[in-house]
Amino acid sequence: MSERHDDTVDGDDTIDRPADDEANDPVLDRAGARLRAGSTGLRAGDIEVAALRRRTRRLGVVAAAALVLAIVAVAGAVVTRGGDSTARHVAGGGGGPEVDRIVASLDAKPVDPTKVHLVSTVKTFPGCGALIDDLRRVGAEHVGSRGFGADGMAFSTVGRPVADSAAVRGSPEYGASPAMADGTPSGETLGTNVQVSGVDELDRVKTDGKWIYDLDGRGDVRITDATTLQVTATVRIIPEADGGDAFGPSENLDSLLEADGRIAVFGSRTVTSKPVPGDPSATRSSTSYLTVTFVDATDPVKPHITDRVQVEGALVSARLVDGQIRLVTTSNMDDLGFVVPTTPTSVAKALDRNRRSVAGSTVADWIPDWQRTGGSPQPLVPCDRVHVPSTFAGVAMTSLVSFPIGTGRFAPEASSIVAPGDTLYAGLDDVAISAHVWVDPIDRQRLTFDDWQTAIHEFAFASDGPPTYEGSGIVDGSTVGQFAFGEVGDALGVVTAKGTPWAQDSDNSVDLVLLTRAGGERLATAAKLTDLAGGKGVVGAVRFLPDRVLVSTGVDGDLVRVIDVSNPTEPRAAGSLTVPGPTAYFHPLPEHRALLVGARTDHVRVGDHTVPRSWVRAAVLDVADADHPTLSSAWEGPWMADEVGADHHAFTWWPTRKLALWGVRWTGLAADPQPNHAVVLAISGDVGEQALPEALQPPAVPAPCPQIPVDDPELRQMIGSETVVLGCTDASMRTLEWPRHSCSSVEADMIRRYAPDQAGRGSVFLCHPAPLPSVQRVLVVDGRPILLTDQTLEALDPQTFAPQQVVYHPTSRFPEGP
Amino acid sequence: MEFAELVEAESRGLIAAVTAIVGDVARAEEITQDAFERCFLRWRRVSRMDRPGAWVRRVAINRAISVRRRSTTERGALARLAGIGSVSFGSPVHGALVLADESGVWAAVRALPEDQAAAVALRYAADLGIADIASTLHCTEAAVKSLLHRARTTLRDSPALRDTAPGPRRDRASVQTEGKDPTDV
Repeated sequence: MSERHDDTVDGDDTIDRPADDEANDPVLDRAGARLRAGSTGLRAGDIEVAALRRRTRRLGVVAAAALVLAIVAVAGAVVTRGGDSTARHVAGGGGGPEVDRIVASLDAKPVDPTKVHLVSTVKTFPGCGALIDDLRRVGAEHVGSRGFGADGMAFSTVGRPVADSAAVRGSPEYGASPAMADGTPSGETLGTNVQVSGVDELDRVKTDGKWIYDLDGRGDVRITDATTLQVTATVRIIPEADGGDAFGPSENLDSLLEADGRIAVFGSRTVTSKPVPGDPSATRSSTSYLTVTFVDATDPVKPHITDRVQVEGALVSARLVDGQIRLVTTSNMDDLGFVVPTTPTSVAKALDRNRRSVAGSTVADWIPDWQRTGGSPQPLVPCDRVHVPSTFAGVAMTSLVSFPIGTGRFAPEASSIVAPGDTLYAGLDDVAISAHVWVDPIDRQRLTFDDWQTAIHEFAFASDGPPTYEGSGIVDGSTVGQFAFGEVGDALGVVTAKGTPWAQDSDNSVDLVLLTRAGGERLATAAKLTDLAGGKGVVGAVRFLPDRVLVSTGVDGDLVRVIDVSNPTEPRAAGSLTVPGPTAYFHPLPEHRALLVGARTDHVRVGDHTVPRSWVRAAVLDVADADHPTLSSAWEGPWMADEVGADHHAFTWWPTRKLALWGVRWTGLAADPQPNHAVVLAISGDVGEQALPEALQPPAVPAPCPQIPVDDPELRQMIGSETVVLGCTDASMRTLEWPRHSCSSVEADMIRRYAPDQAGRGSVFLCHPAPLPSVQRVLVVDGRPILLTDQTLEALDPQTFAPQQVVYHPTSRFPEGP
Repeated sequence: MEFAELVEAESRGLIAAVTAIVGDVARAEEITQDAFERCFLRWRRVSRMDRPGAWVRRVAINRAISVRRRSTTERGALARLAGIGSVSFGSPVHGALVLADESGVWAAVRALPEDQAAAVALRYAADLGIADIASTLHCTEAAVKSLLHRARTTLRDSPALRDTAPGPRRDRASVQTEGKDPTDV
């Protein structure tokens, strides 16, 4: 570190340190010592928080300039954070009699969250005037000197998107959504795996018995004839004009839903700001939008886009029920321009400023917009359908949106609740959202809460009209994730853990609470079962079966606990059993059974080394006798891993043939690459391997462009011995497809250096041998199993599962710019 | 080195040095915090430098000098508009929280040429050694000594330093300085 002088005035340091001799001056020394004594220094934590906030701001050039001037003039030492409309708020939010009145009515300090008593009711307002009056007042009571704290680290939106719920209704049909199989007379078609029968979920691929619809990872929807495996049409979803920036295109396509040839494609779009001029850190900040694009593919050869919109916020979940899309989104109040104090002396000013921002906010600041391409923004939810929890739960708004897929046009009917949709269950008709007392992220580590509780608000989607509010209840502790909701009879089951969501302890008690309608809009605790995990507090997979709840727990995830809920008013902890490794997924089977898909690891000697070997394992768990669960003998595959635990869509259940199918990756030594496979297991009382079809490579074809010989040894060493260099005549080409290879384009200056002959004459690509294909999904289309890999579509014989046909069908994991 | 260690080691002295240059504590805290925020955002790179402290000090001092420069220009313009007449270069930047400068020492320092003022602020307010000042200002140690020497020669004539000087030490230091390099002004 820096070399320092003792601040000695009386000592003879001028003699000890001749080098600095002439730099000593007692008057200046004393004046300096006084200055340092008057300075409190800075705290690293405050700097880190402010710096991360700085990174998130998205200021327009003009807004930034106006803001800096305004704040320098008014607030002294305050750093800015906030949205595009910040300047408007600084101008409009700073004054006015109404704002003054609200601010004057507030206590000196923001509401202390430890003193708030959680109540479960929500309220609505007859119109926008009454709604905004309430939001302004309550918001201003809670806002702190740092605004609403974004998300602690402030990189993501409040209420992050969550994975689809892993809950299941007690339905006799298990898995696979009914495919819309018009004109498929003979065979059986299975959609990809879903959790709630009759509720189709978002996925990268959908099939209707004749056509396969999937995303190619480059901004297109592909329509493939399931018989010939040939792509009949490709629809460009991301506009060509969307060039994005140096970090890639600004939109990604995530998933789709399909019914009767009508497709809805869901994407996410990030609007990244330019760095503020003169900011040496050149930070760029971003805002998220959800995009919905409607494609009419009723003529699969000539599909076309019928509508395209963007909705402010992020996608939490979407379902397709009876031709109706049910969407849940969450958005935060990026529009309110908040400031952050940078020094202890500016806290009071920053608090006043932020209160004025909230007190002067408008309805548009709170309600998310949607916008048709070329149209003007309009509110997603009317004011009288905004539900405000009686206990302030934060400034995120979770919106429940319903619209038909068949009309091909976005016509939303929506309700919303002012609460972050961070934990959410979406069943056939019901959506449950958890909300708790709002605590500024800054204070979360500092404050302690003895009896933390969580409110559960339930909404219902109807076949027509907007979603309606059903009721609310309160549970102790916090919900442990979206997978821990399910329906037990008429009750909503919730798995909870003691404590706040941000301070979950592994030795906390984990409870199951059953909530039932108790007259009016009250959800009451009908029954409660405490300490499911035996004080371990770790919950892995959870599955709600008819009459049973399965919970995988234990420190290593190797304990399966059975809860008997056959009497919903009196759930009880029944038997348990230990399995050799963690359970990734429970798939419900008829007659109180479930297929347990998990993993285990052992160690083997390879040469001189001991290496870990991973196994994928599956067994049938029988919980008909809840007190004495039994496990069948297991199927185990060595040197394998799968994605079923992370994404249940990777698993396919073929109910009529009682087959379980999913992809497994080879995990052996890289020096000895082996092909990847799909597993086909016959499930009866036992588990039997029916087949282990290999994910074949696509047919080899000659290089699409002439090969350029590499003579330069330096270059050869750099690109690797197996890499082939191709030179194509079209200079504008940025991507090149070549089955069995992965090609990337070479920059112009590299070409000039290593292949001067080629410079200016076309484009050059480096093509490496592609890794072996791996199975992403197992589809069953018109009775025929089809493997979708990252590189191919591979049709299998329905009886033997031997390969019948393989076509090149690449999906980019990391899309390149258009 | 951890970021927190850097903040702990540097922030107090740096706030003092920036205060000496801009004449306003709150403003100095803001400038210093801003410099540390930038440092944090690029900590991966800055932490690998030989002297991370020099990086953050340079950012803060450059900013302080530019604030001082702008403020001087603004004041000049305002003064002309208002017909008040000439403006003292030693005035603090903003009136909000002016530092306790009873003796007027720092006002005199602010009246120095900016490179000399920066060197004096780093040496006496931040209590840094010559080598650290040199790495902060991107110059040689000899140049720092020269800056300090010239600054002190000028300050010697300032009433603030002359009148409030304590007895024996003040005299000895003065004599030594004068004796060593009387011509370098």
